[in-house]
Amino acid sequence: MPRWGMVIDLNKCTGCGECVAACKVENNVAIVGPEESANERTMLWMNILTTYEGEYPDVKVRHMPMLCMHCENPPCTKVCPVRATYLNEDGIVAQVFPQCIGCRYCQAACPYTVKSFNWYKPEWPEEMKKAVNPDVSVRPDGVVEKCTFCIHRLQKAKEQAAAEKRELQPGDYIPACVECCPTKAIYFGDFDDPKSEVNKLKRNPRAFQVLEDLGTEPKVYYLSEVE
Amino acid sequence: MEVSRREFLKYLGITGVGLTLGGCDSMWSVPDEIYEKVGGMPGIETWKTSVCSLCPAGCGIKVRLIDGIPVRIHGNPIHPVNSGGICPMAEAGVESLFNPDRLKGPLQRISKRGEDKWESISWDDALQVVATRLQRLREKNTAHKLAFWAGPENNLSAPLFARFMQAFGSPNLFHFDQAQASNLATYITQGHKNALGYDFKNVKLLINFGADLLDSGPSPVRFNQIYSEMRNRENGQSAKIVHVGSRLSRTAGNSSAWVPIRPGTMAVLALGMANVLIKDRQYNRGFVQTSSFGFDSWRDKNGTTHKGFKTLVSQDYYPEKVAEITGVPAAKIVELAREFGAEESALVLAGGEAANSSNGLYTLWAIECLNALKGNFDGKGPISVQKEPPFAALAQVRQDKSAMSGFEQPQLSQGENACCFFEYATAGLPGGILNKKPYEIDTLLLANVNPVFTSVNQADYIAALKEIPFIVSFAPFVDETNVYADLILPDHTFLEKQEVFYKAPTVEFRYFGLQQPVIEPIHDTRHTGDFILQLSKKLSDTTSSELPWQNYSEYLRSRIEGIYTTGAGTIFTEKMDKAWLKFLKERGWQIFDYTSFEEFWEVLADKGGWLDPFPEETNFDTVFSTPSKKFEFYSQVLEKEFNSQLAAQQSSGAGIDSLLLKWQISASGDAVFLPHFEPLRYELNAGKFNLHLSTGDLITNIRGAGSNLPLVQELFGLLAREYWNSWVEINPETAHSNGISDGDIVRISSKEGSLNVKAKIHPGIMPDVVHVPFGLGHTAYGEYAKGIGVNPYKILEEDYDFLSGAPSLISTKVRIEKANGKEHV
Amino acid sequence: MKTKRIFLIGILMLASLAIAFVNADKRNIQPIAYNHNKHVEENDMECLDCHVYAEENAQASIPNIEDCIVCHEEAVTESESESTLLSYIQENKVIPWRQVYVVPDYAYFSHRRHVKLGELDCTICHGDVGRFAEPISEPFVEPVMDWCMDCHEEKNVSNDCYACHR
Repeated sequence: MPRWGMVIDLNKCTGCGECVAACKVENNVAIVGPEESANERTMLWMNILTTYEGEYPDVKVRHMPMLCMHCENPPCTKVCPVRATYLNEDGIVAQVFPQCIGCRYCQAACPYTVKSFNWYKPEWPEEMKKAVNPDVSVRPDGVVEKCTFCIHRLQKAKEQAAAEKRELQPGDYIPACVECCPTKAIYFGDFDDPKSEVNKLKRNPRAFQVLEDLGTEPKVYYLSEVE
Repeated sequence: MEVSRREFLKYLGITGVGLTLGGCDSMWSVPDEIYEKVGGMPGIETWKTSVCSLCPAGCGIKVRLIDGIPVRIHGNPIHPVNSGGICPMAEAGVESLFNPDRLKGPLQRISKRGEDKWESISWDDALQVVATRLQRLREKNTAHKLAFWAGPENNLSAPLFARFMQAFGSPNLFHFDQAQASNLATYITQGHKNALGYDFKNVKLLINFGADLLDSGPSPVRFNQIYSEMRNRENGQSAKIVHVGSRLSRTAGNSSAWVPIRPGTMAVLALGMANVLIKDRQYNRGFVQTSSFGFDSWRDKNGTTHKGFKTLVSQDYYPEKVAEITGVPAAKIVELAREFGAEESALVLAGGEAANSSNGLYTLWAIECLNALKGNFDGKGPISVQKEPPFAALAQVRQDKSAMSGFEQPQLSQGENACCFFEYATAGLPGGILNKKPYEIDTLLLANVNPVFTSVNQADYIAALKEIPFIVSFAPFVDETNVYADLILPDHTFLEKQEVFYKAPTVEFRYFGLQQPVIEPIHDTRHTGDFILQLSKKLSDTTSSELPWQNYSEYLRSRIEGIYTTGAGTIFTEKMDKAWLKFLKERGWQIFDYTSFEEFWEVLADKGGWLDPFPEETNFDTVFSTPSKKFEFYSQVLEKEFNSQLAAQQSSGAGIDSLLLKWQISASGDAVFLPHFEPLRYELNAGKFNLHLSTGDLITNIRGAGSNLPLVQELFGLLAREYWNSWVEINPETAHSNGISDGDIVRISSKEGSLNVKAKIHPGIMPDVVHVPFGLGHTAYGEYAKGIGVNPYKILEEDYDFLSGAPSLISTKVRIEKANGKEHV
Repeated sequence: MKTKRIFLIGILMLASLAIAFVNADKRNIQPIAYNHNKHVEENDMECLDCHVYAEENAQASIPNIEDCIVCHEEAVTESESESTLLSYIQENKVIPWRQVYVVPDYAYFSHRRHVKLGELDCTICHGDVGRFAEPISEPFVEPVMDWCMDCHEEKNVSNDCYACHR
């Protein structure tokens, strides 16, 4: 079975934030507005972690896109009382929105803090509802949501491949953030395929995983910056 | 019994899915949004190619439509400016189209100006109102009292507007353009005002003086790609990028090294580097000897000896002195200069705080001299001169008597009344209007400008707008400027519009991108170009005959037909292998199959634009249009301009000193015509205000134009983790000594006023600088913009580079203290 | 006035009772009393003739005036429903069909997948629509998850949540 995963080259990433915006639009992630943003309830499936190292004037800034790591050994799935979140057969940590009861255990269990909770029913101005992406659901209040690796794209890609009577090819299925990254810093593919680019990249000496020692076995790898 | 669709679906929800899941709220099963999506539509996906014009860069886009409704914007991978990338603001483009604050049709004012109360008016009536008013101007032989303020000149509307104003008879067309200062630096040193293009492909060392290329500037997406590419070249060939600036911006953070420098002192560093290069004899002597003027001391035709660049920098800009002024250690200066001298392909660029300061032009000039020392102006290096695509030329405008007499009038606040040395500075417009110099303005047209928000003299602009009897705006939203208008005749948003965008600054090749409607206009809006053409038909025989096109589309096609006819370049193509293209070109073949202009247009619309893949090498010997026909370290161009101004006011008998005083230049003698350091003026009277205020755009909201889009607001300070809010960046040391902690609300006060804003402790900012991002603090512009965050321009002291007319954004000193009150919101 | 209101309420109550007790098929919620039987059985038409996207797209699509006009440019019968249709066509108005089969947005259902690739007959989910003379007012099969999953299991198709949920 495929193990879909990602490699993000931090030496290519400039922290422009396009992946964050693309993710938000592609997946109908709710706009929470000024008050809720001030309460730190901004919903971002993909975020950029900015860190500063050193002291003035020898400061180094790092930008790191953070999203669901789609762990092979995910801590979040183990605490879900209703199996709304689980590791699926494609290696994606699924978040099944209609199944979720909103207990938020998974949100607390995630060491990467990449899950968001819908405190309120998402609101779009009447005029803008037309432009909601019809491929992705709009989550109601009371459920936890997170990156799905753009599962709707995999569903469609599989169908397309079946319609053309062929296997899924590399490039048939890529999430929105990968597709739109202006500097092509994000790679996506099947770690189970020995020939895939991501598989080669994860053996790069610059490759690392976030909080590797927790044993979560993230399927999002990073290539560190070249000093 | 009538059961509404909604109720029925609800019923479905309850009996169907709702019951199966058990105990769930019925609305859970069928969220509201579904109702909007069902209705028997097949959900057919289509794509349309266009150009985003939310910022002046003009990136190529591909819009995804479901059943004809745009749902997302992607980059057009074959558009050479952005190569498939877009920015967060473009991502929010669909919100601009469906924005609830959009004007749904033409409006006329029904209350006092600025009160934002309107009633609708039909397009026909509006056209009649404007036409009658303008006709009266012409009847009274006062056509020049019409003024037109338009956005950047990066599109084909600009020449149409110019043509309209010329045929009508007014010289008062002004483009609010950011790149003015850079183009003037080119003019002073090279004698022409063409924009320069930069090819970074082979650049191994880039020293960037203050240009925040990744967050604002000519094309942020392109520069994110360029920076990334330069850092990731194969086989250890990666380039080094050094950023000189007062703050570790994202651009600085993405460079190999950051050199903090005191605001306003970049010219000194550049001249200090020149000092080292000259002393080490590490400059391109071939270029300097054959193609430059004023490097060595020289003697004019009267026998007077003038100081050369070499003498100036050797005497006044030795590393120790430079270190004292700039705060950059002397060793660092020497190291930087030697690195620059030793690297074969090295380039310096300037912008941002280097350009937008009261000494901006001298600073850009000093930095340009480093490129000259390197010999980068030889046509083979990274610098070239931008050329326009071969659009069909427009015939000379024929003017009737009324138009002729109006057009000959001096421009508003130019000439004698100019606010700044070089004419055509928009900075002086409010003053000109308020003082009625040289005459009063009767009617003002506004297209794609919002100076009340984006200028440093906002109060002056408001006063001036109130002074103008009649204002017509073409904006699709009510903003800070057109709230003072009498008529608003809304244009389409960019997804409904046809336009051509070209010549993004710094781009080294000829190209244009075709913007085209991806959806029919959803409201009763009209293309400004169409309105101008309709107006022309009503005004006079000549306006009608000189603007003969029935609509804007016809005009656009006629211009592009010129490109089809010449056969130059190619429509954007995936097959960009240059050898292959060359092979085809040499045989007179083309990549795409078309035999008529109609067919050409179809392919063009599908691919999104046109490109000349083989830019000619720039022959600088013919480009340099200075008196010496060379690159001028000592600017005879500027000297000539000074002399002609002196001649103009000869009657007063004043000498050059009066001009220096007028334009607030502290230098004297030969130094005036050589790049040198002009201290920022506030140094002399800063008083208790002890910190420099810095400001700049963010890629999420360039020029504050995206503030009416919820997504833009939600991601505004993505990297600072501040959403829907402004903040001030403070060095930890400064924060500590002022008793400020991260997240505190602080009051920033300048002589002009104060702002309350959230504090962000930021290790990457100089201790005596604080930074507030620009883009928020709108007082109009719709429900998502209004009252969110602060506009730092509000507390900027009004100061300019009186040579170039660029506003000085770093001339303000402030103090900060913890505010007692709560957050500003 | 008052009596009128009471009368109205009475009617409404009766109507709701009727909905509760009488076969729900009798409720006509469609703007036109469309007769499938007439088209499919009597005139030999195929489902795909009108639901044109059923084999190539997720949504099968409900035909509207631009499809109907192919045959109904002018009256071909004397039926009342047809004259209603013709008035829509003449006024160039979209027929406000009520979509009866609604899959919530959090589930991906593709007609192409089922009809074309899975080679399922339309009747499995929609019943023998071709014989229905009354307009479709409620689904033949309620689109509930158990029903989907039973079939998936039977046909050895993935029942992973992410096979459909999104």
